[in-house]
Amino acid sequence: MSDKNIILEPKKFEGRFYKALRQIWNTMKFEWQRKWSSLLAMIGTAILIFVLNLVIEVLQLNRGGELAATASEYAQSYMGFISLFIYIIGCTFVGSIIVEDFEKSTGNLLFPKITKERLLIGRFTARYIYGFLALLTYYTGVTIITFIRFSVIPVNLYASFLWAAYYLLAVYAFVALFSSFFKRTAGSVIVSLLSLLIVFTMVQSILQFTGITIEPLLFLTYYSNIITYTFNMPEERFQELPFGPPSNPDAQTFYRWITPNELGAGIGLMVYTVVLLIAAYIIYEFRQSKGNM
Amino acid sequence: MEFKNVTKNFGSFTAVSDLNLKIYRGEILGYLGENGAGKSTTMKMMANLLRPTKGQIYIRDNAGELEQLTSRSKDRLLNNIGFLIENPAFYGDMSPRAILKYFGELKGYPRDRINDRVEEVVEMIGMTKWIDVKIKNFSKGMRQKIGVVSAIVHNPDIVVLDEPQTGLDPSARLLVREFIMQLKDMGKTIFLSSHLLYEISEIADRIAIISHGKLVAIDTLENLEALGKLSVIHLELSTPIEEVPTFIPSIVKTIQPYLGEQRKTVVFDNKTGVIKIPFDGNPEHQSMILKELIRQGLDILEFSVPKAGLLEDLYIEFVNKRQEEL
Repeated sequence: MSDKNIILEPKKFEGRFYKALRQIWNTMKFEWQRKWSSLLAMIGTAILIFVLNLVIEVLQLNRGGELAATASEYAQSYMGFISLFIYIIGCTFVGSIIVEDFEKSTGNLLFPKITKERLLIGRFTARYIYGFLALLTYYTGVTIITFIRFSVIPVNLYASFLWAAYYLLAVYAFVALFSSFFKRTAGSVIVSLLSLLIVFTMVQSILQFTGITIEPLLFLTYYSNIITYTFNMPEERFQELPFGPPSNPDAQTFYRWITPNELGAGIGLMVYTVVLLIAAYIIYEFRQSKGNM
Repeated sequence: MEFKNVTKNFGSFTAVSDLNLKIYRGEILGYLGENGAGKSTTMKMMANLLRPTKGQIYIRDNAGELEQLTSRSKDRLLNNIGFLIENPAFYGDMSPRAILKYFGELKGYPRDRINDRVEEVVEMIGMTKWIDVKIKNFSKGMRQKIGVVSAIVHNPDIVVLDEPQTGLDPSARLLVREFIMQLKDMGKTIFLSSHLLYEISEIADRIAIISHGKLVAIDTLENLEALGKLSVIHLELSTPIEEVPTFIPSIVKTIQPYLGEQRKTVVFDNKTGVIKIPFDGNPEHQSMILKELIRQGLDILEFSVPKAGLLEDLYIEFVNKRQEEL
């Protein structure tokens, strides 16, 4: 045991706003340290998906396929896995954002020191920046390869990146909501991923056959289409497609919304993000630590 | 700090019932109770991790006034308190340096001095060489030590420690005990919960006993002793163990005047050779018993009134009373 005397520090008084900012910043720095290995893993995933796309392209060219006609179309061909990548980023960084404090009792250490809203803001911002960097890595690869092939960078690629970053925000909020009421990080990650990959798509497919023609703005995954379609926005976003042989007079028709427009996506994603984040925060705030005595 | 009529229910189960408790500046208040008695719930309510179902908690603010702990005031009132609640799991991939630095910074410890401060507190628990090692490589005891210093890294005036010695080996327990005494010497107020009677009896100025959510006793050990009208002398003779029983009748006769209202009797442990002699706790009587035993020519090897054993008896007495009430 050290007999070194501890110097008593004078208590520093500071305004509530400044203190909040300082604590959020401290949390962000700490989160960046904690999630460093996850960032490296996500950058690795970005590179892997990019290389996979590149390999597919080379194989197609070797089989006599043709290169896309324009730089924009070429860049669009790299967007096949972008939604999946965004879901992986979201679940990796946000799956634990709230539940970990209860699962591992780290809340017992943290909550007496910092309010939950500051903790959530700090964590969310730090993890979003990391997710953004992973996304940026992928788009950087696409930009470089497009430039190599066409000596030009299509403006739509920047637009696609911004939509992807915006969509990532909404996915973060969605996963954060699941994280707020699950007991285990694994549960939050699995259910979030299944919802994003299967549940939304399944319900949307069912609705296509029921004849409902309302734009599916309530489905988060619907907004991901704009990331791809922003390269070539269709004039008609609503399609009526006959189902079955054309000669059949009783052929069914199913209805499909291809992509939201910019305004719809802009507002829809904002509403989604804000509502889900507020819901996650409210559950977090009222969720108490384990009631063991 | 003050708990006023504080009750916490979990559904139909009452974890803490009508708790009234004051903790004074500069003291160590030992909070004693069996597992599930309501100790951690009390501390969690103080840390605002749980909200009381009824009653209020007051904490002295910077102006020296008692102010009620609410969601609005907690940020300010808890600023000057360091908590260690239960056995927290630390982030395994982080080092003590990174975690303690974060905690210190959250509480506003000056940024330019936080590194020195972290090194200082880690040195206090003898873990300097582990300061940059990832916590996932630590034993439970090492984690617990980091937990204890995490409560004081920002140098608070009040330290709340919930079972800080649980899971520690004897030497680590001693280290933590000395550490707590060091904090007291620095003028800190310490609210310490434990179910380890010895640890509490060794360092607490006052002891609060909680059983089944109800505070059954609170006072200094001496006053509790008077309240329980119970003290026990441990007597050991240098005589061979087989011969000790022959002395018991004369010992019983000697102590009769000092038993007070108790109906307890002398107990001989033939394994350890210790004779346990109950008396009324009066120090003068203790001295007279010793003189009388010497006068009878007994060859005394040890004559003591161990606090831990006493506290154990008192504790059982208070807890049994509470169980009879239920």
